[in-house]
Amino acid sequence: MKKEKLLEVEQLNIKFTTSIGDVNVSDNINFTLNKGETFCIVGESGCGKSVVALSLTRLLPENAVINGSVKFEGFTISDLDDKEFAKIRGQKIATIFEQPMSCINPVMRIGEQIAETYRANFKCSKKEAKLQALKKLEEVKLPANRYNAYPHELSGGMQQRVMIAIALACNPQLLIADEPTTSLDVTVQYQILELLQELKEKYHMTILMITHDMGVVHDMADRIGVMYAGNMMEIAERDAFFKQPLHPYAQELLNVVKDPCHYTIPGTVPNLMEIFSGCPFEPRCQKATEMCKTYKPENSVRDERMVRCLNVIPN
Amino acid sequence: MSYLIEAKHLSKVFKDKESTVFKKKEIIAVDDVSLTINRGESVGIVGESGCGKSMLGKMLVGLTLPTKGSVNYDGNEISKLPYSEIKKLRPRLQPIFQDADSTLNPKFTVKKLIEEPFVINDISKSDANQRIDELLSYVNLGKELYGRYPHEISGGQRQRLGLARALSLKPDFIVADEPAASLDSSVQAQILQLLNQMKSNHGLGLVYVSHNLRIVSMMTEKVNVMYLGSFVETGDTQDVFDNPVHPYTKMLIGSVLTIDGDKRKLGKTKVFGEPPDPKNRATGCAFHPRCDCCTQICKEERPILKKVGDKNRFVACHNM
Repeated sequence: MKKEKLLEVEQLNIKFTTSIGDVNVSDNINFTLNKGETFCIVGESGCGKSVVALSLTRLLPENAVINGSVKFEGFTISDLDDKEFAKIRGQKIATIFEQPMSCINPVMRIGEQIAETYRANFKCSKKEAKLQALKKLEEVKLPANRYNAYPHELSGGMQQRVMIAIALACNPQLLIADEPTTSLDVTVQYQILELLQELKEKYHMTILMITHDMGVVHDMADRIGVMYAGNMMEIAERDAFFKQPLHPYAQELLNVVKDPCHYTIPGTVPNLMEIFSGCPFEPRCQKATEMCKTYKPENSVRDERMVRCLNVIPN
Repeated sequence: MSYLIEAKHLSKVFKDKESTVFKKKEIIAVDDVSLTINRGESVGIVGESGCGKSMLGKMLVGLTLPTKGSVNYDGNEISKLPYSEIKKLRPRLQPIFQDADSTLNPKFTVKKLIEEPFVINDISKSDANQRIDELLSYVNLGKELYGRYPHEISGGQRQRLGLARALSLKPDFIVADEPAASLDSSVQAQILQLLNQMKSNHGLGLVYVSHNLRIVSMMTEKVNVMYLGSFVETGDTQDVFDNPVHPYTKMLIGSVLTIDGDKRKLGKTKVFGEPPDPKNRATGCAFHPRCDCCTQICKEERPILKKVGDKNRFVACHNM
């Protein structure tokens, strides 16, 4: 069965222009999302994973220079002007963030915020919007009497549920979840992830999840993309990836997560202001050769698997 | 053999802000907790946020005094000593915090920050300088960092600087409160290995406070599971993780997502409820509103820690 593609990202380059020079946060990134799957982008802080996600809904600040093409349902959305794009953001692609408190309005009742999203996107009466909002509250398993609560009256887990309700107000096809459970307790994280999984199946949503937690990836992902220093190092199906990661960085990352008391990756994450002549992981890579210093690795693709390394060919 | 640290019936109670002259309201952060730590031993304290684990850690190193109970360090009862005496003990009892940044003065350079403990404790400059070089190479911080300010070094480096500062006066006892929580996994591993090395090289007692159960299971020999101010299960780490008895421990361990094995874990464990509010403590067993094997007695009577099996295991639950 051929999988239907929902989102295709090709040759995505993002850099920030700053007063002290350019910062390259995304270097020729290609990936696709199939309909109904969960794709996880995993990487350490500062590798550019959130920037890639934000660029998809044009939420980056003005000093970001974005090049590349993004196709949504076969339709190029990267060429749209901002007014047309506003119809896609929220209705087709919605985002939830790590810090719900910084995204929901602290002086507005949570029910009204959900209803507002609905009214902003569809023309309908206030009464109908309220009914819809109540329905959403029920879906995210918040009691209906919380409709009139203010955000500060809720716990962190409940705030995240409100955020999910707002994101889902217009039944988007793609949900971008940027570290949705990082600031939560394990027990609450578990419940939020269960909720996301349930809603995904109910609405046949596609989820693009950004995280640094391999445990979350292991449970949520259908396919995985590993990022390092603005490069997509490996893309693989979940089972194949956990069985045998191919890129040296992915291998070392898994080792460290499995056994942090015995493994480390020596060195530190590179500064993205420098321009790499070779592979950005070369200084920390144990399998690096002379070639890695001078030649930039290209994407080598086979079937569903992509690796960006000179020494590894997917088979 | 006497214990390095012996805490008996520790409690910490705060007055609630909403409390009035007519109606006294209290928040019980830590409630009747006893615990012992030997030299060279690492003990974990785990629980959800707000369960009082950090407060317990602070009481153990004498950063805050308990409302009730006592902490005994090497024959000295910390809670009864005058401030001047506690100050003399401070070099021996050291905390490491999650957010190293907030413990480092932003206007001090790295060099000055690491010198500070020596200056405060009147240690001669030549001795101090030798020790500083030793320490910084131990935590793998290069000399080129000496002149930098905290905001100019990375999070992992700041955390290592925090470790170096805690180690500087050769303590016997360290409370590490989520020392690696805000770091990336590769950097986290560096910090954990350093802590382990410190423990085995210097024979110190280590209390590891964390909500990350996976790391606690790897780092510690004994573990205490805390819920709303009191221990609900204590025992040898391996034993507790292999065979949890208390429903809360089961839920906590069940909700940790790991990369071991092929199977997904979501949906396998029943996890309900949110971390509780210490202001509205449930009657009887504090965990009963979230427990799936709750019975009538759980709502009425508070369970106490009872020995289970022949190993060193204590559990506070009515339905074992």
